Amino acid sequence: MRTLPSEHLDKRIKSVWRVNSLIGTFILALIVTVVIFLLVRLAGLHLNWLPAPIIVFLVWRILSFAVFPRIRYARWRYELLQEEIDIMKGLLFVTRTIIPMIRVQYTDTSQGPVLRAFGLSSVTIYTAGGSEDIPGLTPEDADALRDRIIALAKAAKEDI
Amino acid sequence: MEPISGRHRVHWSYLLTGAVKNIYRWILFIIAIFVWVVGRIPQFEEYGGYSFENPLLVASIAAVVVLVLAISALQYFHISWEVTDTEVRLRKGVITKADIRVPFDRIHSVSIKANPIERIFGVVNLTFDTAGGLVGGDLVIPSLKKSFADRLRHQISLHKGGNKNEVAEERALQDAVRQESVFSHCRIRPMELIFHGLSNGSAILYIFVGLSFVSRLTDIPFINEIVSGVVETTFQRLNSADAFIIALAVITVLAIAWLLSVVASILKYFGFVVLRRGDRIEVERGLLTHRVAGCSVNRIQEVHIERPLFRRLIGYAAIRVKMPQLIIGGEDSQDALGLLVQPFIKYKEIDGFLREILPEFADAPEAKDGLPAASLRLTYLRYLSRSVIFIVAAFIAAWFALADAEPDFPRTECLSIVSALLLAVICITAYRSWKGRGMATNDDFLVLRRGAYTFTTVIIPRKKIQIARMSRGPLQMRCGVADVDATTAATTDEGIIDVSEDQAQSYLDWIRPRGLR
Repeated sequence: MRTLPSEHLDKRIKSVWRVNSLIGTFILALIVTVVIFLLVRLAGLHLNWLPAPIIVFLVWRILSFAVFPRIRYARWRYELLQEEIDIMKGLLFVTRTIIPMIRVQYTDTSQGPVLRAFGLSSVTIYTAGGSEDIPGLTPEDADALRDRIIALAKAAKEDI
Repeated sequence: MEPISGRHRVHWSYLLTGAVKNIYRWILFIIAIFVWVVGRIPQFEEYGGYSFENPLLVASIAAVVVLVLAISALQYFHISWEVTDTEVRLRKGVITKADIRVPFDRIHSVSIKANPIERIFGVVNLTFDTAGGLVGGDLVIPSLKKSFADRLRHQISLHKGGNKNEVAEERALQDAVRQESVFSHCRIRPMELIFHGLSNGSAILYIFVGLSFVSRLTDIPFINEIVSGVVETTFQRLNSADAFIIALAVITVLAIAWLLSVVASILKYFGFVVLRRGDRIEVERGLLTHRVAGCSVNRIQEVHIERPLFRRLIGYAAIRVKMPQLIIGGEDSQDALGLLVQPFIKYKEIDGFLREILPEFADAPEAKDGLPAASLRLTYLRYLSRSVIFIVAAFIAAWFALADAEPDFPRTECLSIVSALLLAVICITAYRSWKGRGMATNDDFLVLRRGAYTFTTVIIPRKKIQIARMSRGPLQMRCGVADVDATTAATTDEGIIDVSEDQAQSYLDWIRPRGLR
């Protein structure tokens, strides 16, 4: 059995996810409202069934605001090893991802508006087949991580 | 041989082939314009309707022909290609100008394609395959004399090694010689070609649907009647004589469609030959449109051995290799899925074929290991939970529908039997999909096997796996199983579900480079 990856993300990432959840809720609500409005106006839809889906929607969004970030934070772990990057994450479905260091093509750090507001930064690791994100690190940590990955990737040798 | 240099125009036959290509594009547009706009002008009928006596119609057709010719002439005068010491360059475009340059170093393979018209003139299209997608489209030099194309290919393969100094030049020359000599090749036998066409099931429905649309367009009474006949039989009761005639007609159309698909498949794979030249694998095929495609073996990310139901019954499989991105411009959906290196091969010959053509992949293990019993339970659960709701819903809907239509019909009994049969089929499918799944690893390869009726075996070299994943849901954790997944530079992720946790864990361990362990 593999041991779990050692590092956690910065605690502030939970707030980032909450803000993202709020933004998502707002956009979804807007779209749904417009659709319902159009249906009522153009197709003459009755509104008596509406409370049930609204309750489901609200419960889901409240969960995604209050509960999901905590679970995700508890699950989110990563570790930089000599020859691989080990990432574990997930909400209900837990995914363990291994990127062999030798396959790393390049990395970059980036900051979205929400991340920036909380003083955080994210590292993206690119391979020839796809990429993986490690969000929610302090900018110094992110830069250090990026440089370390590249140094390790350079040092990594293919075995034959 | 004199090296090719300087700026060249394409062969004059491009005027014609270009016009044909344009006509393809324009024809739909023209039909639409006539049906929706011109045909509705009140005077249209007065002039004579849809006949060649109608000056309006004739003038429009003439105008379109002139327009198409003019456009292809314009295009012809604006397209030119050039080969310098380091790169291939193509300039084209009348309004939107494109200037595409590809350094020789970036060219991974050169493929040749020619349609029947082009073959009459002895010209080919030369496509340069680069690793990444080119900005502004792939570099395709159209309508090139065949001899010219061959010289160009040779020249590029000479350049590719890099001719900085004499030693490198010498090596490049040797490489070129080695590339020219065929190490081994494999053909498809004529009998197999016919079998391949006969077992091609998917085309039937496709062609039938196509025919029904054509019949709507052209208003052929015969086919139109069949189509509406099929619709009617499903909703109304006809007397038996009519039903028989309609059934006969449908069967005839299906048979014709099937024969057409057989012929299409034979035309497509006629003269199929796969060659191994040095470190390249090349595929040639096609009677009408002759295609040559190939790639370097170390670019192969995955090898797929596919065994669809029909072909499995007669003991045949297909082998496909996948490269990063597309190998040739994705006109042919088959090519977009990878390069088919063997469309029809006996099971027993697969090993021999791999040893002969792709010895790099011959050591892959066989994925024999069955998955744990917990995985079988979970598979049943997956299949049943997905389908039970639909079956119940369909049962209720059909029950009420029948109650309205035919009160005397023993609907409860009949529907129960149908539902039970459906459930049995779903259970069998679930069992088969569990039986069909398997994974195995050895030093160099990951082998995944999956499928309930159509089996696919995927061979992935360990060094081509970029990202390895294992994921588990709550139920899977309880059952001690997990999904595994491998990402390569070829576009899709490959994985299988519900392998045992130990297998998944050891897969993650296996992915580490050995040397550093």
